Amino acid sequence: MTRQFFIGFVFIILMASLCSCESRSGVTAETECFKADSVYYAKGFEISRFDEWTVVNVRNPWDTLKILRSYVLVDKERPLPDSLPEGIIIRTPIEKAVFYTSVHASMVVKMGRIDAIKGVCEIQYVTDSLILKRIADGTIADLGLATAPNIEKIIELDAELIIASPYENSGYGAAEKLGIPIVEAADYMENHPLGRTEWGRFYGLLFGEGERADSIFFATRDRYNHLKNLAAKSENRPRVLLERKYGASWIIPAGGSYIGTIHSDAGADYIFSDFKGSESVHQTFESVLDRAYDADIWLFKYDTKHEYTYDILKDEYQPYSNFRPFKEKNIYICHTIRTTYYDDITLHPDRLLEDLIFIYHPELLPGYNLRYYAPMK
Amino acid sequence: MKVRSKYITVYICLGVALLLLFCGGLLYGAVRIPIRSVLEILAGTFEGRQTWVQIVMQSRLPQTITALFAGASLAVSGLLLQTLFKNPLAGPSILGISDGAYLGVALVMIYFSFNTYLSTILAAFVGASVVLLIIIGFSRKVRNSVMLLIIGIMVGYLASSIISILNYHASPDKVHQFVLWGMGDFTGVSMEKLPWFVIFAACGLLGSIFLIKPLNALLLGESYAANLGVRIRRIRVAILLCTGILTAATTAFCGPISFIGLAVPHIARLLLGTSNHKQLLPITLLAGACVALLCNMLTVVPGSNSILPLNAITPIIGAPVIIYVIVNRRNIQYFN
Amino acid sequence: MKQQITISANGLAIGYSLRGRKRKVIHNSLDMELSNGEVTCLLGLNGAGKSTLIKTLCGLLPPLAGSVKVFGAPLGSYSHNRLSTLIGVVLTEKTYAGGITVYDLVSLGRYPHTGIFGQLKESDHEAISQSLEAVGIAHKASSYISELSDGERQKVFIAKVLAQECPIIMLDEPTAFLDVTSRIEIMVLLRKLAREQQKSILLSTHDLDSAIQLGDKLWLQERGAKDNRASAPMVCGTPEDLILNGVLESFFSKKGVVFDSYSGKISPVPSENPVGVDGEARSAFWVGNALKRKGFAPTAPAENIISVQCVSSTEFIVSFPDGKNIKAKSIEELLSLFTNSSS
Repeated sequence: MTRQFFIGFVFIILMASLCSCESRSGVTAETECFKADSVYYAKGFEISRFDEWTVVNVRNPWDTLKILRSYVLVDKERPLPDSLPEGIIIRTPIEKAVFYTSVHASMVVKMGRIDAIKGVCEIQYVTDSLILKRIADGTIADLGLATAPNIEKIIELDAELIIASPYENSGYGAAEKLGIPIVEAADYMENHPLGRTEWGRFYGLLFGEGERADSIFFATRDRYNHLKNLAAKSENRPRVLLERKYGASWIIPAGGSYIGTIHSDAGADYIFSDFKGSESVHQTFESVLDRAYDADIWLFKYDTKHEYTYDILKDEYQPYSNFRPFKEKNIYICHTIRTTYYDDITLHPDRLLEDLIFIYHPELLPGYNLRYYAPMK
Repeated sequence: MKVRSKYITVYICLGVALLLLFCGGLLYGAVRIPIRSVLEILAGTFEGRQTWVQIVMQSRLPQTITALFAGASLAVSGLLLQTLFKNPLAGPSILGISDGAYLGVALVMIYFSFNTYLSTILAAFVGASVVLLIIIGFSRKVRNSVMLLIIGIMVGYLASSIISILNYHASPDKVHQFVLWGMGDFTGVSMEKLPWFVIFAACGLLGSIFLIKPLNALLLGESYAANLGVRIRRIRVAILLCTGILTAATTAFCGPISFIGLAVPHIARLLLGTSNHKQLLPITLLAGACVALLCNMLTVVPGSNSILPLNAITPIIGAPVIIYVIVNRRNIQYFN
Repeated sequence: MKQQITISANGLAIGYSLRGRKRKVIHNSLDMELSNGEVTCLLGLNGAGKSTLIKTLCGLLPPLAGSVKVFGAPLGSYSHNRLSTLIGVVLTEKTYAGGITVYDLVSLGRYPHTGIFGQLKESDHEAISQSLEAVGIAHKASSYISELSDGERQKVFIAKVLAQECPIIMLDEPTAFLDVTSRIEIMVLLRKLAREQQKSILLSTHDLDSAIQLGDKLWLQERGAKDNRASAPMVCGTPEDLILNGVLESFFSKKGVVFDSYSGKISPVPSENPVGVDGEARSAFWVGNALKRKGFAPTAPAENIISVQCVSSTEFIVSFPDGKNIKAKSIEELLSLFTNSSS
């Protein structure tokens, strides 16, 4: 009798100790109590599922060893458990959310939860027609500047959640005092194009569309990888020059940044891919000229009212005409406001990849029409 | 006279420094080009890499000439203002002229989204000219030079606040572009555009040379100067006009550049030991050119991939000079 | 050379224009004339508006009413350039010329005579050197202005106006900071210029002695008009006339102060204590000076008052009313007798 009691006691102690799952600062241990979702491309967040809650840890993009924020997602249907790990508690699914960045709102639209979008900042950058319609008829509120949103409106909307983009060493001002959970969406800091898109899986969990968001992501991922493999088949890798000189410096994206990655994935030989890391480098014009004068193709983005032409480019800075792509008329330009370029980096990197592949290897995509870039006139 | 020989020494030293720095600007850059090749390129007998020819002739040469004229223009306009306002801490930035140019460019870049070369230049000119006209208008009504200085400072603040508002509402991209423009840049003027800048700068510099005589008279104060035959209001307008052209042109073509206008006149006075504009103005001109050429070279850090913004380097040279002058002002004659 | 009137003012009102249309009138209606070949001294207490008057006469301030004529033509009819060759000034204003040398500052006096870039010719250099010599500051020609004492600086400005070579020179308190010898030097220099070069010289000064001695004419400027009442007119004349007809006396007589028309000095009001002074003229004068200081009033000797007989500069005989006679060998001894006797 006492022996069984003793064994039972030990067993209970053992089970209890195994079940006490630690979910403190970032170290996610593998035990039987939960499973960690595989996050494939995004480095900025991790999902850990437990029985009664899900923890999403967002890493500090400026100090990747630290966790910026932990979010504990608890289903609204369930009662709130007694002991929860440290973190911001969010009851899901969210019915009323406000978005500081329109791209995040677009992602939520894609997973079919446009009804949960109650307010958006900086409506002048919104490109999604469904959101625009709702802004026009008032169902989605205009919250003003992302740097100084209309706090009273947020309160009036009775928002349950704020999704914002974090900046180093800056808080959210008055919004922090509202008591509304703020999700710090650091997707823009991801270096891999698919990494940004993958954040949609996190938002999916918030709005109760985890599976749907997952499948959207996987579809995008598969399409992206399919295109990438297609491009890899081509033997030709054109040498590519990007962007222009601003002031005294030509800002060169690094090889490990998302731009470097996407152009390499499109089968190009990005000339400055040897700049490691993800931080852009300021180069002098003469360095770029010396290294990239014989590039095959030149791509740059612009946002001015007038359309760029070879004449305008030469007028802007005459030595641009020394580059081979200028002489051979191989320059492609993309207007970032008239196209959905900035949105689609996050939402549809595969489409951007497609554009680039068509530019670099037109024979691989016969019949394709460029969406973002166009040959400069 | 013993004093004469001192002046001649300073002239010679600065002249040599100018020559050396000019050559330095052509020989030194982010891309390593051997001295011999540079000389051959200049002579037209180079037979190697075409990019090197392009770099030397289309990038380094205009950049160096721009720096030379920009430095001279800013330094001389600083000197003019310091004498006019009898304030050793006056400079082109103080009067709000560069802020006006800044505002013009901000409006065009951020608000209207024009980004052509011409629109930027025009905007800077118009902005600077508007502020200049305001100041000249006030100078007719306000007798006291100190009051005019304060008006200039206030106008500058006004322009800055409007710029802040524009920045606040603009997209990060545009703000970034604008901030980059604000870092100062000698490289933006290509050989084609260079003659325009040189013409404007030369006009301003030439005009200032004709002002040497009244500037000296102004050292005695406006009453004495008037008694000597100086038409105070007219000369004031002439000085402001010269300063305006020099500052507007430089800001339009190179962005706002700090400290050169403020510090170089002091460097010149310390070198010469006199406030007599007959020597002071030409030396200020030369010293300004030298300082600008030096700063331009220092933007390229040897052995690094990166470059430094111009407006980060000018204070490194300018601020110590100002601090030295302030700390030692009891011993410096022109302060007493 | 015939004497002519170089500057004349008629019904001149001087003052300042304030904000709006308000004006601060210091003097309503002044009439005066400046002639060449003469040194005219402008006297007046502080605040009387001497500087304002000088600035108005030389064209730096506009007259609020009335007219100023230079060589017969209105002041306003001259071009700036021409005027700068006619009238030169020395003012009391602060300047910012600390960083230039004495020579450079004086050479600015040649401004009206030099070309566009201010190039100095041989004749200019000569004029500058002569001016430096004349005021006695040539030894400091290469010093910086900031290194000079106040008095030296004043001389430099005077040298500058000399270099300007104008027929009319106006100076606002040019001897204020100068030591006694320099003062006389400058006054003598101005006299010389007036006499030898027939210049018209106007200077304002507090130095009554020099003014009476060396000024050909005096202008007495009363304190300005209060509350828009008419101000007193300017009194002009030779010093002696003004003294003898009592004008100078009434001008300077204020509380506790009186102008002594015998000595030409301003002194405290004489006391009622008469003491007779007699004897050798020079000693008698100085004994009188000492007695005044002690509160006595020197006068002619009389029966019932103490008398001092000055035998020589080292022998004085004091006679008391009671018949006692005491000898003194110095004025100090003499004075001690008085204090002893009064105690």
